[in-house]
Amino acid sequence: MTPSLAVEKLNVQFPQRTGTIFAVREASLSVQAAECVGIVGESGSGKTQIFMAAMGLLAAAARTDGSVRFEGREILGSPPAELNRIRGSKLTMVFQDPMTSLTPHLRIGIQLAEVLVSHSQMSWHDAERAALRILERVRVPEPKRRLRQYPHELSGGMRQRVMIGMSLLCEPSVLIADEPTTALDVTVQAHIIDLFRVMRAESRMAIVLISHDLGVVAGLADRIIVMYGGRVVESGCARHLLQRAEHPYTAELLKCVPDLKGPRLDRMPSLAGQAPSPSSIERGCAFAPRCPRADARCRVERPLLRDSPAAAHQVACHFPLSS
Amino acid sequence: MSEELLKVEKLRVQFGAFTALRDVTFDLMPGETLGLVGESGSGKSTLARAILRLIPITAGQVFFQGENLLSLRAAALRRCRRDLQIVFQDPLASLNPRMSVADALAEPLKIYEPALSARARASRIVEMLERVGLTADVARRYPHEFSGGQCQRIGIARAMMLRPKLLICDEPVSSLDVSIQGQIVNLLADLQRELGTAMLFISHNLAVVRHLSHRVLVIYRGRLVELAGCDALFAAPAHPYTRALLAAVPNRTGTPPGQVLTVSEEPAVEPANSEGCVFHARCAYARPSCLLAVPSLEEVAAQHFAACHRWREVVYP
Repeated sequence: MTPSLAVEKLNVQFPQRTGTIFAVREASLSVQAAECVGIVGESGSGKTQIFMAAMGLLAAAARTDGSVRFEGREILGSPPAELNRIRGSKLTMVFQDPMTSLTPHLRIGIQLAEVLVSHSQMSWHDAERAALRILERVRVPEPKRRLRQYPHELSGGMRQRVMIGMSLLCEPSVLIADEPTTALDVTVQAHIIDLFRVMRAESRMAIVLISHDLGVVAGLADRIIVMYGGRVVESGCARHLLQRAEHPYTAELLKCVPDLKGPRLDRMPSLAGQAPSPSSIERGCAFAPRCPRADARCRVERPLLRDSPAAAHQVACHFPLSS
Repeated sequence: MSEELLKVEKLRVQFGAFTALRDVTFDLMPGETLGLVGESGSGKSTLARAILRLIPITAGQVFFQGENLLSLRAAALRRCRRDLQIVFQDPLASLNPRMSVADALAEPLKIYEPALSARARASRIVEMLERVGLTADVARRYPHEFSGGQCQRIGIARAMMLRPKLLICDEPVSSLDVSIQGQIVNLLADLQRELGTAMLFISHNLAVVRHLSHRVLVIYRGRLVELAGCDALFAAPAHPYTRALLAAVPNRTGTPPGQVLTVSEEPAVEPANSEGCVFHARCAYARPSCLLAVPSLEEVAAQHFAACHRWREVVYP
């Protein structure tokens, strides 16, 4: 089956006066219809840049190579006119901050309807009716009144619902949600995650959920992809990966997910050291300086992403935890 | 019993017609960490700023080491502030981009210990940098050269330069990656143990609050809804809001569906200055009678207080 979105050997670089920033290095991943894939990594790991590249939203100075296919068609580096046929309609993205993603001086109804008027050549009248239906679908209370309101009149959770609604207007095949709950409170976060769960059951759209918090991804994703230093370091079925992480980085990251049950620990778990600088020249495994299992080989020889014994599970490590 | 370090009584902060804080009363002992939990807009940061007198207080009292901060004149307030420091949420924005780390850390010393020689200042700075896990050579560098976690260490070092008696931490780890949060939390715990600083630790991150706090205070829409020892609060929360908050935290296996919906979403409009319980619109236990009076803090167990008309049904279902 052709994946809804397939990224292959993608490199994203930003040449700068002081040297090149390697944001994404040879990343490959794919998402099937009706599947939810979680992308996890620290800031600077390249998780957002992959999808900014796919959407054609990178800064002009960025250099990319590799391939991004949307429903089988190559879209990496396509001219804006061509991309506009799919982005915002078939391939959509929801960002972290629901306030800055909405235009502050336009009513919600107009912002929603505009999507359909420009992408589907719908009349404003029909588009506003569709906007009302979409607000009902994303469970916004009092949808009629919301259409006439401005973004500042809505709470953060409600704005994020509107953004998700907007991204669903043209029935996308792929929805990319970049830290959609990071700016929200935990109770609101739980409601938004629940909304994604409902949306997913209702349509066959593929969802990419990007987050630095494995806990958020754990509740929703079928598969999880872990990124470190611009590379995919582990990928596998969510349940398996959460229970039996192979990469030491994933295992350490899992320890950092807070647990409110259990006894209080003496030290709060965290990763020592810092994420690698994206401008550094790679030598060996990028995680080696922080890795409890690293030895001399890890510092000189970069581990390749290989199949691990478990089905459909891949890991880039010389000393995976099962070894 | 020792004297309270900080005592807040019936604090009320109003911005125009909007009441940000109402009747907030609590105290903080020397060396204690009090966690302050609540959602955005609940008044957490307003409380921090009101205590520091960075925003005007409408009514109520704030006593610090027995002195009423609200009646102090400028000079006396300045003396008091030496013992009252704050660490902000955004580590980069709270450092002056044009000041080197050494300059930023020297500033409090120049203001409060002007007699100190340049050499003594430099050695105090190096000592503090090492204490927060940085090396002496960072002193010459500028904020933009550091990661978020490192900037937060610098912010903490600056706040601790004068060895304050109370450190207010306003969401100090919220803008950091989950993987780095623990480093900063452990640093704060170490500093507190070594220097005996009391902390008011504000966060919406419950795991972090649980880790650091001796007691925890929960506020909702400007009102104190629960106050208890840390273990008691997490093991047996008495207020429906606290319960909902704890249930909503994702864990390693993901939040199970259904469990999260123990609280409805925030209501569209807040009844303006309603007379009843502030939480009733979202509360699974609410009855019409909850709208009749503002619940007062009741002692539901030893040293465990909750402001809920129906706490008995919540605690003993």
